Amino acid sequence: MPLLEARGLAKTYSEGGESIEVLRGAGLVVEAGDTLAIRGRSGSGKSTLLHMLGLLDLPDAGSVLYDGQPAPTNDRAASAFRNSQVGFVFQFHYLLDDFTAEENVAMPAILRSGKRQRSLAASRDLLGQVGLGDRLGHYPSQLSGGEQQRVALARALVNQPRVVLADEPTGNLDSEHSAEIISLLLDMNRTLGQTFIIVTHDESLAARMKRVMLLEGGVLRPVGD
Amino acid sequence: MNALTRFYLERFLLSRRRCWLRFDTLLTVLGVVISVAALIVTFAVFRGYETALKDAILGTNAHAYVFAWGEDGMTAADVDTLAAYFEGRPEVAVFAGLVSTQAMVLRGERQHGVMLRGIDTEAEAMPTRYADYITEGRGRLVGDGEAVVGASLAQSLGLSVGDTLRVVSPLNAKPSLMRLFRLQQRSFRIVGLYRSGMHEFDSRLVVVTPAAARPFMAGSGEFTWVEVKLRADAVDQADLLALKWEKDLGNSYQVHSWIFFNRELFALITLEKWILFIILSFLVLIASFNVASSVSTTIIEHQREIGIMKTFGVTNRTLHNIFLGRTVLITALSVLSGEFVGWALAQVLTRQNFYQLKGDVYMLERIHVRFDVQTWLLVFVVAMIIVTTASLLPLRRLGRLQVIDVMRNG
Repeated sequence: MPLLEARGLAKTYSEGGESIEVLRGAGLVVEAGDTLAIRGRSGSGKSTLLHMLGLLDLPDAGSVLYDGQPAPTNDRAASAFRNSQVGFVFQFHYLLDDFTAEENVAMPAILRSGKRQRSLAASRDLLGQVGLGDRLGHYPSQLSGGEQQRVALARALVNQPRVVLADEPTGNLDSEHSAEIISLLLDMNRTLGQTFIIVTHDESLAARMKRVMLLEGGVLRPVGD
Repeated sequence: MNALTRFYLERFLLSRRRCWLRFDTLLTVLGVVISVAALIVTFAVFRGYETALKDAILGTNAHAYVFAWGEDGMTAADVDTLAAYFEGRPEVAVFAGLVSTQAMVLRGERQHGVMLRGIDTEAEAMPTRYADYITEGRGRLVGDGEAVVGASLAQSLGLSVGDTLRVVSPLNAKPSLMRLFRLQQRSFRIVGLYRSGMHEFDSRLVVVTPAAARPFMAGSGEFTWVEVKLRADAVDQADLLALKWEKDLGNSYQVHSWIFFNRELFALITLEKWILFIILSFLVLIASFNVASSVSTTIIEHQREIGIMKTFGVTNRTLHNIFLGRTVLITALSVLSGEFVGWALAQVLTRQNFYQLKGDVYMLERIHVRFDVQTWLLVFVVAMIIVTTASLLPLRRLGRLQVIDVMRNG
């Protein structure tokens, strides 16, 4: 049974009295431990698709299934599901400015377990794994772009989600920091067996994924093998 | 409140960055602080006035008065009858017959209307706190030629301890051989000054012995009334006791309590106090609009934060609690600061000498303030309810925020 399945996802936005049909029956199947890159032009609906897969947005038609079961749709259940099963990484780090790196990473774990000290310990451990063991007490503004993104990655992974959804995770980084992040993602996939679905324009990043799909005209189609 | 909300609020409050100490937040806080300070200082002044006035009234007056019917006053037999009745009553602390009449005092060309009281100052206990209010000289009158005078009265007539005071009354004037009426008059040596803080007494009281006051009475009685002091726990039941005693005494006497004489006054003060409290609560309401605006701005500023928190599983309810918690914490700090500022202002008010009350208008000459737990709590609760309620409206925006829009806009 696939870990994640999207069937016939459709989404239309209205803007200025005009309807924009972003998705027209997009579908995909992702197995556990897979790494999938989704490519497409700007405005093709990649982020919309990613938000639907992460239960942040509801499709107008179609469904998202995890382990063959329809994903929850109400705020409470979908939030609990995201907290335990899904990790998000975005182009911008979106760290909370008033909290240290350690605290930022610990937040999803505190929400899940209710145990502050245990969550902070897990955060320290994970920040050590991404090479930021000496930056625990630093605030986001005291970190470089690459470090900020590594903290964001650690935050996405702290609850050991089964799937990580990344939206242009290297889009805001220089090539050196991009390479760091890509290596980290692939390491995590190898060592923890986590599934990664990455929306990207970066061909070098896409090429390092097991599968690549192209979102075009509101539907997904595989690229290459 | 879940663990994340507690963690967030704790860090929000204690973080080294002190993100709530921002200029715009401080301006909002200042609005609440000033309005709460105004509210609490006004309420404390009214509470202080109410308490000080009650204290002064109960200090200068007895708790209940027994009068005989008619205009002649009471005879010694009446006083004995009442003594027999009050002697064993547990609610009665002290009682005594007293002479009270109107008179005039003369000092050169100056004259002044006074309350002339004939009091047994050698009694072990008295129905009023007379002895506590003697600020100069002595209160005990050794002979019939001695008097204690209200301090303000003495000041206005230029008298001090040791001076002589001439008391005159037309009430008991006697015809002379020349068929002219001779005024009742007598000179007294001032042995003490009396200052209770109650203008009516300080500016009009002259105390002499009962024997010295008796010739100035209009009627043929020996006492004007009998004063009763109640035990502390019965003071507030004085009006009920007065009714009971009147009935017990077979309606031969009229009994009136301090409550009967002052009911309208205290009702007016209470009414004014609450009207002012309500009016000044509008200041807090206006300050709460600033808080609501600040909450709205904070939500807009923290959209990215809200968006990312939603992605890692924070529900709308938890977000609501977090932002409500931030508002409640800042509001609570503001209200407590406002209460402290109000308290400090009140201390200045009681110690300053720039402005004093007009005793002939307000009965008291000094501003008094009173803070008690009820006042602190009342202002705290009212301010918290107003400000928190006002901030609930912008918090509704949280549920409408779409993560996808927030994230897309970076």
